[in-house]
Amino acid sequence: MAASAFDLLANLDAHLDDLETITMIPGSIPRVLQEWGALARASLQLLWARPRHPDANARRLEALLDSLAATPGDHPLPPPGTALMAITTTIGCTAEVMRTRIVTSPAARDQVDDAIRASLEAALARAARWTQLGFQTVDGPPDPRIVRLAGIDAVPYRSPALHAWRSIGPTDPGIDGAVSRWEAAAREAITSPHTVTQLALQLTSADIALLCASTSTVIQRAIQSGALPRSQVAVAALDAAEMSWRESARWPRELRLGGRATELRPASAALRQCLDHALRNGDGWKTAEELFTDTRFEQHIASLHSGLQAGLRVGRQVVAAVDDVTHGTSRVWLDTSRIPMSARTEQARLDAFRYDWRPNLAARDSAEALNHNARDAVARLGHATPLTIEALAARRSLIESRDTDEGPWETVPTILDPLRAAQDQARLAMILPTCEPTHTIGR
Amino acid sequence: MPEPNPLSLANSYLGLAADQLLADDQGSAAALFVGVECLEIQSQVSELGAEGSLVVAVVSPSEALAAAADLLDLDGRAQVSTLAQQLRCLSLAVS
Repeated sequence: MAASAFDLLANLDAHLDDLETITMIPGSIPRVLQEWGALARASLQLLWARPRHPDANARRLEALLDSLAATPGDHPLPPPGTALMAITTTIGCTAEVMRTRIVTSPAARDQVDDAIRASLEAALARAARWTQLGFQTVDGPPDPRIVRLAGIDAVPYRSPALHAWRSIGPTDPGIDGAVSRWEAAAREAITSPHTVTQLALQLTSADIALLCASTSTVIQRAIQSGALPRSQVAVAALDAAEMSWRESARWPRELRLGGRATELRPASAALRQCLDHALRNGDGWKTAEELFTDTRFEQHIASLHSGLQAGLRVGRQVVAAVDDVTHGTSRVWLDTSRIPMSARTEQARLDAFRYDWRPNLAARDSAEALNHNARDAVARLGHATPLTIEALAARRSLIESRDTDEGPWETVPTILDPLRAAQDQARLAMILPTCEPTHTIGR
Repeated sequence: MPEPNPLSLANSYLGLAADQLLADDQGSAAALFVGVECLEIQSQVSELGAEGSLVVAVVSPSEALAAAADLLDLDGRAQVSTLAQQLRCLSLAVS
């Protein structure tokens, strides 16, 4: 099942709620301390996996966790344990998801960095307060490290940018699984210069164009429904990327690179059917209402963003493959009828062997154009992909602006409100000076 | 030049249709979905041994798909007939 850092942090809150309903039983202090060792190790992993690590703000927390992580104990701890174990597992999974390499904007990395640190500190503080209370209940001595953690005053913060870090696999249902299987098949089909074919490269490029078009549509529908702010930046970038990949999928008729694309074809068809089923209704895209009835728009965007990230990885392989067939040792084939007259002597020799195609020479115009198209498409996708998450992250500012909206009432500034101004002045006049009254020297 | 056989001609028409659908200036999603499906069918037809480098008349995507379907029908194999049927549906979708 696909999971994002956002989902895992929400799950962490649920586990903390469960933990707080449990009472510590006498004799469990050594075991709880061992579990804290595991929790500290997982937390350190998460701190190190953050996009902006190393960060001076987290040094004190790291030092504290380091001392807890050194607690001796079995690795892994045998069951049954306390609910702290579920918290450790969730934090460990989040660290694993945060190690996923993705292309993001600096703003998204900053937001996620803050969100991870604040959420982790808040979670550790809650777990530490439960532990502290438990130790008191069973008349155990307080652990100074737990006491210090319990004193952390942090509020968990969920940035929508956390949706960008996701873990998907081939057995996942829906678009996630289809993307994962497609990425593996495309990579297999195009990375070897011996097996790469024109149709595999064309199909891969067209599939990436489909992913761009799908993401653009979901963002447009989210804007139409008022869920996202009215900004066309991401939509325009995705549409430009789509057109570039469509162009990259078009090969000139005089070039050819034959062979099979047998393994890629079913994966490509499955991806297309999945997108069609989830996002389209007959010949057109679904409406916002149809799209977001069963699935929240954040989930759609997160899923498609994972698709774009996969598209970016595969797109780079397309560029490498096209570059190889343009300049490498195994060249794309060129229709000899398109060779200029100066090369006719060579063609005459080839004609003697009844050849109509010959390996394309390096720097031939049409193959160079293919190369240029693929590079342009990757660059545009690299620009558009982070903007997808930026569009989602902009939702926060939309909510904030709604929260501060005071409705139809007019707010009168203090300076213009004579009654309030008079009250403020009276209040200021009543404030006593903070210094001691000066003693006068009497006669 | 290779002997022009129905599968090769069908392959050329498929290539023509896919190229036009992907180039669609309107950026239509329907054209994109059909274009990708065309490439997929072209890949299947290529694996049946068709070369597909023949020059064919430039016609609309819908006509090219219908022509490819007619040519595939000439082959007679059940597997190829299924592809022909699929192409007729696509031809209607983009007409």
